Amino acid sequence: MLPEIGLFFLILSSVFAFLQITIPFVNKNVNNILVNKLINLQIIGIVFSFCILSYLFISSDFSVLYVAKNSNLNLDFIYKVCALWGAHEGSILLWLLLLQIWFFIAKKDKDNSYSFSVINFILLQYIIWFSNPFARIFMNIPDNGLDLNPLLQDPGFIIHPPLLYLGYVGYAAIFCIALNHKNFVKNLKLIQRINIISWGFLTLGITIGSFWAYYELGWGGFWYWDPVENASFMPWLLGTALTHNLIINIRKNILIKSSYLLIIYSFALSVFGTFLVRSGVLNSVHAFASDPKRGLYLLAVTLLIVAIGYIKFFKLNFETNKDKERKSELGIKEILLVLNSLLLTISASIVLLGTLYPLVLEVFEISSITVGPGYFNTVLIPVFIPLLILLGLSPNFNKAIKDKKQVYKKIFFLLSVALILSVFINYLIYKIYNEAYLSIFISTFTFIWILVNLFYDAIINLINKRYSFVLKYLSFYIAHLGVAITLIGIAMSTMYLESSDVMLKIGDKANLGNYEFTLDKIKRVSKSNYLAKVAYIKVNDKKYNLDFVMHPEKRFYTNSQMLLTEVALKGSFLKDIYLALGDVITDPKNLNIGHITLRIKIMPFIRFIWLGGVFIFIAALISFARLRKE
Amino acid sequence: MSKLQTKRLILTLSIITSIAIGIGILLYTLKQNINLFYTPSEVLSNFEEKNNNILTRNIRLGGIVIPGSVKTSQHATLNHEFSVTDNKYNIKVLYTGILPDLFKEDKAIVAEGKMQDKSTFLAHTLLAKHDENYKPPKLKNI
Repeated sequence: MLPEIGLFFLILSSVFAFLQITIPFVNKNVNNILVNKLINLQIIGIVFSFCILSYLFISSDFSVLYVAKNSNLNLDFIYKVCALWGAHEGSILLWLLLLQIWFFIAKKDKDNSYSFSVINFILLQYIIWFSNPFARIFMNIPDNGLDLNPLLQDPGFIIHPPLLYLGYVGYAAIFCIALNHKNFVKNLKLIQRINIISWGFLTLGITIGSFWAYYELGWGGFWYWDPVENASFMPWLLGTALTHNLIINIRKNILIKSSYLLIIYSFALSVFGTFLVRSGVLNSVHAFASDPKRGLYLLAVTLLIVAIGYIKFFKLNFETNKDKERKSELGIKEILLVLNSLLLTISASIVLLGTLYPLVLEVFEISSITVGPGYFNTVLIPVFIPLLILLGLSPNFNKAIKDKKQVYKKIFFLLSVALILSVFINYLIYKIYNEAYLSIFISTFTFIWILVNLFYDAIINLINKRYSFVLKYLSFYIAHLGVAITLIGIAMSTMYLESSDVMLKIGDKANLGNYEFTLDKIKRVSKSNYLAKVAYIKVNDKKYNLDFVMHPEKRFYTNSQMLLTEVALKGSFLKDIYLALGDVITDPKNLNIGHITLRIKIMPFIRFIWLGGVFIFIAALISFARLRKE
Repeated sequence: MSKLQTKRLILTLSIITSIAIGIGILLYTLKQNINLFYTPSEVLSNFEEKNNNILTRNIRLGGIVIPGSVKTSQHATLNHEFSVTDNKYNIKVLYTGILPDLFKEDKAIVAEGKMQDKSTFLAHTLLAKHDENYKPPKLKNI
């Protein structure tokens, strides 16, 4: 009975959304109280049905198809709850639930609520007709569920999807607010606040997803240029452009239409991302269960969003406040910001082209192809390099410019200091690794350049006792340093990677870098939902003569009959040692006879990649707090 | 033409040229980095048409791993050999490295690498999928 009630709540919710959409056509003077009630009922319906689905997962009701497919009696409690977003149906419901948070906040202004209801209605139709999580099994109800995909039984899975969705729904909310208001400009500040926090969550979501792929997929990579990853990267790039564009909008009241277009596309691309993940037309390493019919509906929704966006584009009022004088001339700062938005948009288009190209060929059955990472790396680098220059230049234009010559002098001075310092530091790096690379120079130089700027600003402001600058530019510096830190991580870990695949019998040794790896023993472990073979690998750090043991595992999940590599990581701030087991072959009677194949990787500075992401997230939080205060 | 007009003309032309060059480079790089996906019988038909491109290009080969065909060298277990099929034609795949978790007999696999001759494929990567029931679109009906 309970699953039917859950579905009933969704249907009710969609009816209320429909009523709210149609009432203005019937009766022009709608009662505000009635509208507010309709909104509350919509939100309550969605929250209730989400709670019911959670309860079905906790109580392991396998008469519900979705629960039976994605859960199991032997799962830990936390994974039973999170199995809810283990597949498509639940993920979309979670998406919708998170959107209601913004709906609840934005409904204070009744003009905002109309387009929220439209989005709710479209998504609810999708859930009810194409992806109903409450569908029942009527015959042969299983005693136990199929199990949550073992790859997902990991802490990364608990937080990664909700964070990513928090980012996506933010762009949905911004889209709704942008569409509805008769005067777009009035809502710019609200949009800026929602944007900064959603962008922060999106960044953190991508960062955690990348870290999770690194240790869980068993290949030690952090980014594959896979369609699913691109799907989150494109809205991120546009979101970044929007974040910067809004600054000019609010300060100078110019370039407002470009922000509006960025809003349309960042939302359209985040829906399109869901389409990519679910359509099943693309070869993707992350392709979990998929269904082309849903893909088609989501594609239609994407096109609808862009269409609505453009229709409104010609109707909306972009006129700015009359009392605030419109300063139409662009200063250097604005030109740099526009360039930044432009380059980020170009990057997003490049990623979109590489992602869509195989899809188009596939749909028209011309040929079946994939676009290799080479494309993205070669084409994006020429676009990213000017972005890095902008990154380093930007601190010089924080304040209003009075004397141009002085600013140029300052830029030249700081640039020289940064160059000298980074040559010196790169020489030290060269001494350690005996190899030097341009990419490492560029990334460290960017970092040092921003840092030099930060010190210069700090000293000047502290001498003049202007302490307020700390609050004002804290998020600015943290975010920009974060980007540079991520780049250092990418450059160092790819260039100085040491990797080797080896076969070891018990007692055998292998050497890589400064380390010696010895296979000590193999053990069998049996847990409630998996059997595992664990290799005990003694590692000796020859430089410091340190000994430690690492335990890579090969797990066999009994419910889903899936094999899974559980990598062993010895991570520190500066270096990761990564062990992934290939085959483990042992004598059935005697565990002391046998051998393993092992992939060993030593990756310096790889943690910097995700550290940078965390930096950007923190900056977004600080910025959000500051905007709220204002 | 006045000075202003000439200036505008030059500006527009240079913008158009740089965009064209940009797109040109973009499409060229795209073409260089495309991995075509082939099923074993498509590989065969390419050889029959004497399309020698297939020997030089990096391709993706998708097929079902034939049960019983997986051999591992006794001396160095990192060398693997197995055959893939689309029920019309078989191709032997050579691979050195660690097999992905979802590598199983009678399941779909996608290998990236180059054809050595008509019936041998040297793979540098075997692609692992999250979902063990996943099949590349072209192999759906096998």
